[in-house]
Amino acid sequence: MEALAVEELRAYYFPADKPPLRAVDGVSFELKGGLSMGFVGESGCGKSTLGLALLRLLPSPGRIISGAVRLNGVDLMSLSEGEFDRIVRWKRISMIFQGAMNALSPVYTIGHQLSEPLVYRLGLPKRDARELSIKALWEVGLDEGIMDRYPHELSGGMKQRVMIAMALALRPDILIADEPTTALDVVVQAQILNLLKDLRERLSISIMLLTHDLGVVSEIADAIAVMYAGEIVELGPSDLIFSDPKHPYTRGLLAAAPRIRGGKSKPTPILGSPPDLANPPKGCRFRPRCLTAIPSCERAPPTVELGSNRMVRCWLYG
Amino acid sequence: MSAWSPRSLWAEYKRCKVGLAGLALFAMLLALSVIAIASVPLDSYRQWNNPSHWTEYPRAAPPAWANYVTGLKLPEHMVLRNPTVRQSAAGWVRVVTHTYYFSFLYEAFPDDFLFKFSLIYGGSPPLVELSAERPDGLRMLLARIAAPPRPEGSEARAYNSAIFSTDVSLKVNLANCLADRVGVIVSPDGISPERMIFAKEGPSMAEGGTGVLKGDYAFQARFFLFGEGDDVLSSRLVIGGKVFGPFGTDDLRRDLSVGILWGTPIALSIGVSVAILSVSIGIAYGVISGYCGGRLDELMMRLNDVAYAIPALPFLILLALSLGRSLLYMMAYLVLFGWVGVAKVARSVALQIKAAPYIEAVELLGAPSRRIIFRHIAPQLIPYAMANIALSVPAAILAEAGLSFIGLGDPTMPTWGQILHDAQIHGAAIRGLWWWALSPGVMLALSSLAFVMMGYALDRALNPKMRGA
Amino acid sequence: MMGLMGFLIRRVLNMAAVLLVTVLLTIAILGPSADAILKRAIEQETRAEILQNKELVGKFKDPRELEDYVKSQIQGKVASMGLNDPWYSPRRLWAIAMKVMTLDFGQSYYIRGYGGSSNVKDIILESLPRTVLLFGTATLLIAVLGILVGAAAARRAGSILDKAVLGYAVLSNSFPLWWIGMLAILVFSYTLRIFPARATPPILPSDPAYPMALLYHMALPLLTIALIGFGGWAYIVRNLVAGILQEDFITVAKARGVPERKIVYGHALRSAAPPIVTIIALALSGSFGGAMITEAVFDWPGLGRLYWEAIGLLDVPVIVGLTYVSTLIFLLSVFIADVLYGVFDPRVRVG
Ligand SMILES: Nc1ncnc2c1ncn2[C@@H]1O[C@H](COP(=O)(O)OP(=O)(O)O)[C@@H](O)[C@H]1O
Ligand SMILES: [Mg+2]
Repeated sequence: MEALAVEELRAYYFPADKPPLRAVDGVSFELKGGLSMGFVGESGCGKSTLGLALLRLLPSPGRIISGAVRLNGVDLMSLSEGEFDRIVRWKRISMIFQGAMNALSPVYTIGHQLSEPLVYRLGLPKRDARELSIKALWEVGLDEGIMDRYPHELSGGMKQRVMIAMALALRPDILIADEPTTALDVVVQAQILNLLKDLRERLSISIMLLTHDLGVVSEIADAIAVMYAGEIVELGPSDLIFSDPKHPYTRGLLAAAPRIRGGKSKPTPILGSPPDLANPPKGCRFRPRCLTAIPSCERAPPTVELGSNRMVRCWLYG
Repeated sequence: MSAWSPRSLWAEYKRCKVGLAGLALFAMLLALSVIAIASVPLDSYRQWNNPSHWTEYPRAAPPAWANYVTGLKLPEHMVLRNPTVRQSAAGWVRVVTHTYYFSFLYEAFPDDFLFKFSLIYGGSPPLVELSAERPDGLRMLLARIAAPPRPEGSEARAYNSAIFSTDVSLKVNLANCLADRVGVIVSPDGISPERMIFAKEGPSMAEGGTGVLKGDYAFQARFFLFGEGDDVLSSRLVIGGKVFGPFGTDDLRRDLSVGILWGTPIALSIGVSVAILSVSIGIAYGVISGYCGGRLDELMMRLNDVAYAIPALPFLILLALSLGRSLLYMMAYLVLFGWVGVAKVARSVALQIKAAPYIEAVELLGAPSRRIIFRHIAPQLIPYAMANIALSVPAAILAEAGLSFIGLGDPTMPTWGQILHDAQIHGAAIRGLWWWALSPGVMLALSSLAFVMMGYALDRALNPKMRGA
Repeated sequence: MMGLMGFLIRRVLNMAAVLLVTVLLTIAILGPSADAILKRAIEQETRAEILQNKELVGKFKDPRELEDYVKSQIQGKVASMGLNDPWYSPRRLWAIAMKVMTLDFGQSYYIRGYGGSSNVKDIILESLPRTVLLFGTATLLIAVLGILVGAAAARRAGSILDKAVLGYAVLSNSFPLWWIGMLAILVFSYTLRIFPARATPPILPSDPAYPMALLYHMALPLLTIALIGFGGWAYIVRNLVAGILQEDFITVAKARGVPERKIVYGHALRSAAPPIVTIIALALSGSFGGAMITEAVFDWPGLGRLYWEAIGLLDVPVIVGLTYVSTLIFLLSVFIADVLYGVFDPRVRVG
């Protein structure tokens, strides 16, 4: 059975006196236990919103409008905020937030912050929490000397490791990693990715990797969902997406980063810019930028199943 | 800090109710300034610190509207300047009559009264006869006096004099009147004229024991003139009341409305000009420092730090004491301390703008830095400057008020702060003279509130991020 | 702790620089009149010295001769102290600066201390503790009220409480503090007769009941300053905390299960502490002047009232002394704020 099933999830932002921003607009996918899925798309396409919506942590003008979320068969949408916080958040689904630099409180020690989920969510005494935190640090390759340091004394890579340790401290089923490597230097990026891969195997968790970087997903994702303007436009096993992309947007993304699969051609960027989510184009949202657009693209594209586990939303296949 | 236009700024500003209220308040203050300048003679304002100018006013009288609040009907102080004038001639005597009609509908007697007149005569001295006619038809002779004699053939000259309610001759006349009319004999010492004239007829009317007779009164002065060129120049009747005007009077009998009304244009001009000057200087300083960077920036910011750490008040006091206390000086001192805070923020804003790609582009094109500063960076700071000016105005107004309050105000121009200084010196709060302490402070608060509100709205219009909060 | 030490050393250096500038500015502003003060002091001293010396006075038969002798002595001293140079000559400048820095402000013209002393230093030091008492207590009260109310408002951003805090801050900042003091006297002393109108206790400082009387007389000024002062603080705290509540690390703390109260009063307030302390140190400079004037309104026997008296009498030596001492107090309080900053912010403390 799938660990996480999301159906037609919609999460909008409602800025004062402006039309709502449809940041996540009808997203559906299934994530199998122990596997990892990459969500790729240009920045602003709604990846972080998706992750935050799943944790019910959308920032203030944001709200979940509709959709179903099931975790191991349990309907999460029917839980009250209190229940969700007690049962699901951080215990079942946890998250490495975008921007590791700002994810830790500047005025508490690493040890204090690492202990917090253990103290507040599991009710452990402080001393036990501290011991467990030290173990969690070992797990991510840090030594216990860090416990009494403050975040500003740590490098970016170390902070990201602390975040990972914190996110995995309660052994969740699902880890959402939002841009876990952005803003880190290349060597550290590789180390963090290896760490995630390693932990996924050892702890058999599912990872939702949200990133704009195809290179990053290619490293660890078993499946890939390509997102454009709040929608998933193509979804399928990782190798098929890379070897045989269907959606013109996916192709565009790959052409913009040819080196990932050892390609030698010059990168060709996708022309134009992502649409305004408050007022997206009618029909296929990619149409204004699509080189292969046809008249039917003015209508909403069909969801085409291409074999099991493969889906594309495009008139070219409908 | 993106591009802005006056229209878009106004569109944003309009949406903030607080801002509109501030604007309305500001408009009201402007209107008050116009009223002050148009209706209160500059002369009475100049005479603020001249005690002899205020003798006709009551001492420490609450404002007239206090009657509505307290429910008492205390007599309002009246200064009557426009008598009905009549002339008649009988042979070689000319009689000029000045009659003052007024209605007296209060529950209490007036404090006193005073008839002032001004004559011109050369030869034989004119006679003056003052009488009062009451609502019940009773006519009382109050005084009959002669101007001092002049040597025969001397030039005609002006002569000013007055009849006071406390004059002994007046009491004698009233005692006679009482004897004639009511048949009660009272020694003149037992008469209090300001009461008896306004009292209901009866045996104890000498002391006002019969209560106030409400109705229309007429005070008539007859001038008997004997010379060709003799004339009555002017006269006025002051009925001393217990309440006065819209703002009352202070211990020195000054009409507070003069100081309070004139305080408005003065406070506004102090506030606005100090704010504009200090913000402009601050922005220029900050932008130059931020844009030029390097050693100069370091030096300028060190200087700024030091200036920031100096507490303003003690130095304002020193400056006022040693250099002078005229209003212009005062404004200069306030500017001296006003620019410091602005410079710091202006610098950081300038740094942001400087990093913008188009500024780099302009730089690459080889524009001289002066041009970049004044053409490209400074205009972008205008909306920021406006918000800052609005928020600096109250600071300047309150600082001037503070200095005036401790006794360092410009002695030639009364400001709200100085009125409060006098109130403090005379113990207005402790003695319960509330109108003296209240109205200047309310005006101060309203003026600074107007600008605080406008500044708040401008700030919000400029930083849309804050709007959610 | 190296970080904190370095930080503090930098602050001390900055303070010293400000103090030096203050002294120089004072001298520059008062230049000529400062000379007059000094000469007058010398004159008084010399005259007193000579007249006390009975033997010396006895030698002179004619009082006019004595007077001439005194004059010449004074002239000699003035010349030997270099007072014939203009005030801006380096030698003079240094001498005056030294005098001011050692709190040697000479003799007052008219004002006397409680013991009858006319030494400006004594007079000021007599009033100083009372100012520290009133403003120390008021500042503490303001800080506690401001931080609690501000954080509560930030926690419920957009609520009625939040709007009330904004409105109150705007209102209380538009009124001059000292004017509110006058109104407080009008309402609480004149009309309701709850508090005494004059804050100076009517008994002598040596009386054992004096401390209690002082506290009772302090109540009205204290409450006025605190209630008017805390609005601005609450607003500053509210904005800073509300800003921090938008930060990523707050979302993360919430996600990992930190209870809302601990987020607001722990994570957010602690992170906001350094900027709160800095901004408030600056806000102090704004309220400082108003608070000094307020002392005069309540007739509280501290530095502010001394200022009021000295200005009324144009007692220049006292005014100069007060300028220096109040600047010193102000800088010290900013310094304390800086130290607190260092204590609160691990980025300064360690690092
Ligand atoms: N707090 C917010 N308020 C309003 N709009 C937001 C907020 N956060 C994100 N958005 C908008 O939602 C859209 C999706 O943002 P996000 O989910 O962060 O995209 P991604 O993570 O893919 O870069 C963007 O257009 C962004 O501007
Ligand atoms: Mg994102």
